[in-house]
Amino acid sequence: MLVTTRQPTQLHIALQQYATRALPQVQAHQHIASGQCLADHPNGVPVYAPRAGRVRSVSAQCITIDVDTDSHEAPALVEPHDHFLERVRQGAMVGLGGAAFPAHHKWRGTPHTLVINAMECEAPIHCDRALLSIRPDSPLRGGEILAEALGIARCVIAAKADFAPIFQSMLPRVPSWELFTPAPHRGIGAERTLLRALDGATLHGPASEQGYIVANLGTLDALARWWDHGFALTHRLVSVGNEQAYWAALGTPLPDLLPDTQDAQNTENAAAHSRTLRVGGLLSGTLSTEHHRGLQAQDNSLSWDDASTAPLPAEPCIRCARCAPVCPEGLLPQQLHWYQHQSEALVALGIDACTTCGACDSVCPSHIPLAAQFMRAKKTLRTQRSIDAMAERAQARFAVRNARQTRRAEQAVERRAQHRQGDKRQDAIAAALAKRRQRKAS
Amino acid sequence: MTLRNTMLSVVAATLPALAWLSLQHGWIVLIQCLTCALLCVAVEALALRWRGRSLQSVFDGSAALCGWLLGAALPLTLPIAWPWSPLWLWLTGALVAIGLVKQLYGGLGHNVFNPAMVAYAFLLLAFPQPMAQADALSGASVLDLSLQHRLGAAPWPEFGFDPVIVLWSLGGAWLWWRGILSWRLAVGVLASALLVATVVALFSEQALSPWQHLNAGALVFGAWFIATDPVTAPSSRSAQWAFGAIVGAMTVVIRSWGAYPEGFAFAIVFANAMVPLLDRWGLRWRA
Amino acid sequence: MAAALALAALMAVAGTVLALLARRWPEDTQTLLARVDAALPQTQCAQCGFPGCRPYAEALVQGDAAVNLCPPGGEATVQVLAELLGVAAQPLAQCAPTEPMKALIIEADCIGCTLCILACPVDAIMGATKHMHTVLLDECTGCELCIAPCPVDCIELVPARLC
Repeated sequence: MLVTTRQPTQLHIALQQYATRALPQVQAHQHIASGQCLADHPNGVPVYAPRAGRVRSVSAQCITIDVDTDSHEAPALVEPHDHFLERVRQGAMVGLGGAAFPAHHKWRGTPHTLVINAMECEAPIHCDRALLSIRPDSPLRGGEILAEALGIARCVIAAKADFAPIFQSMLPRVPSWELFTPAPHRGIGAERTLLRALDGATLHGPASEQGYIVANLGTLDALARWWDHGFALTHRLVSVGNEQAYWAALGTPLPDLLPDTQDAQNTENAAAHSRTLRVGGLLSGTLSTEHHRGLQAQDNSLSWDDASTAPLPAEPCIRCARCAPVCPEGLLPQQLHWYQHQSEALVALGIDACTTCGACDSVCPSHIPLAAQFMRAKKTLRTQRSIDAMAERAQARFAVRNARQTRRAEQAVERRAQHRQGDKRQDAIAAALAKRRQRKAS
Repeated sequence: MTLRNTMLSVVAATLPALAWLSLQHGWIVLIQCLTCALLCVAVEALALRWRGRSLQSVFDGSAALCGWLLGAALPLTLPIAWPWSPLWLWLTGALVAIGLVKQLYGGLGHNVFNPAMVAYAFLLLAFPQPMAQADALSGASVLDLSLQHRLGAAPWPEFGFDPVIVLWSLGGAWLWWRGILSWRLAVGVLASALLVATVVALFSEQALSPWQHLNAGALVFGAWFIATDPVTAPSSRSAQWAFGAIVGAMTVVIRSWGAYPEGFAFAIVFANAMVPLLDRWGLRWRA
Repeated sequence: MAAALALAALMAVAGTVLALLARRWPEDTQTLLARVDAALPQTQCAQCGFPGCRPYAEALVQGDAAVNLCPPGGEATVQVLAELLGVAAQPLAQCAPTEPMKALIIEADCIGCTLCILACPVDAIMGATKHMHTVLLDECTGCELCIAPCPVDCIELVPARLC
């Protein structure tokens, strides 16, 4: 395993975060120090400068920095907050497993179990392997910090068989912790699937609501570095191809992380040019034709998507059901495929439990891109549900408003009747008011 | 593993039993299977062309397999003269299987009923005369004799072990080992047939013994090669057991009380119609 | 005789099974009115000529309105309504909007007249007399009913995806 650090010359720091977009706090041509806050958002996390340099440009999406040649990584220039979750937010902690979900949202509540997810099971991602080869202690330290701060009694390291010996040797440091090595299974790294294997727990909704925190090794490493050394999350490990990994600043242009891009440009190799870049794993990742963006917190792996990994053309489903026994969620993928455009049937078949792990893809003799279809179906369903929920709310609010207007009209009639029964002076006032209203109306 | 590999594996798995049968009955066994397969592929090509679909899927092997299994299931009818010459029969079978049951329902994966078995049942109902010929291949002759006996027209048939059932089972087991078929379907059919046959034998003097049921007709062949057709069988575990149980029980019931000697094809078509319901229930149990 | 008895018995058994199953499955409690109302997009925009989705649904059920009067629902809603009411689908009477919109008050220009608050069918505008108003974006259906009453023309429609 080769882990190297890349010294960037320019950084393209994206401001889009999981659900928010950070608001820039620097201006173009300003000189910035390493660890200076560049942007922030009250619901998101702050963005720090990974290196010192000069701001080249600022837009709503991206801050571009020309990096000083001799600059290096430095602790964040902020005063740490006392409150745990606020301090987590301050350190720009987001899940490094691939979703980049803000940790201070995920770690709310009163968890009883911390599960350290070292299951890394989707080729060609190998960030965890890289991390354990350079800083094996750090994730454990992060786990200790988290467990202590939140008062978590039970800590479980869920490690795949390759990693188990590494953790076994470190267990004496944390004697009360458990080491759990589930049977290797496609999609076991998904939060819900892992918790089922661990405790038989069935999750409906986020794990944190049922008292579980599932944390990626990289996230815990980032937490430990923030707590003990003051480094905010400005760098991450990104695996490149099958055997390489970089400790790279967020915002590093992706071509800098792909050594053979240079060769491709030099040799004008047509085949090399036609390759697409895959960001993420073979199943959950996305293909990107736009190579010249900066590295983001959710980018765990970069690889070339060439002919050897391209899927074969899909043939019709013969309902052979080879996909059913391999589904970690116990679904019937071929039925989901059959009903992929009928949302009611999909819900009845349990599409909500599908983690799109792609175990079904791997056994399908017809090479049907099932996981991709389910991902699309889930997205459509999500949109449909939000529209339905909105319509339902609008319906209720409309009914309430109409009831209120009817009630008010009735009350007005009642009041007028009471007035009529009252003395002459009241009548005179009412008459004057009515006359005035009439004048105003005309 | 591709679609074509899967289909060809099933054909390969039938070869030992078919070879044994050709040793006994001559080349007609393999000729019938091959011709049916070729006819089915031809009908598939025509139907795809007619539907304006890509002809690519002619070569996925599914039509050939369907014809091959139809050929294995049909009785050997060579000696009969026009208009019941076998070619005519085979062509009708191919038209019904591929044209009517498979392509009209939307092609591979979309058919509700097993094409080969619907074609078999269609031929049996439409052309009873040639179909009732001495059915040496699937051994329905003994079943026919037992029917005759039930009707008081023939003596009690005496027969026992037929080695071909071992060869069929070996082929099926090989497919299971390769992960191509679900053993639950096959074992479900056989277990249910034996169970129902035992009950029937306990209460009826004239009934075949469970052992005779196993050795006669298309029961073992069908359990391994027809009931396990993934397109028309259910896919959840409990539904597979239920499907097997229905097929096995219906086969014995039709053999014991029906107007036709062999009931396997009817049992399959009957159970095919219940598959969506079974799958729905099967899923509910799992959830 | 035996055949008649057998048939009768068969019918009795099948009938009992069907009756039991019908009882086990949940009844269809939704009335036609509720189903028609649920099929409408609930924007309460009154573009159909009725003062809201529920009044339009009532008119539809009574047969007093055509099924093609709901532009926000688009052709899909026309199809669903035609199927529910058992009538032929017609093309939409007006063009469907290209994408969902939301109202946005230009707060600098708002004079606090409360006219838009009164116009809003889903109570999605907050504010008080002579105080700035604002739209609750989560509740706004983009019905456009607040735009005409505004005396200073400070309400704009923006695509929902940009909000």
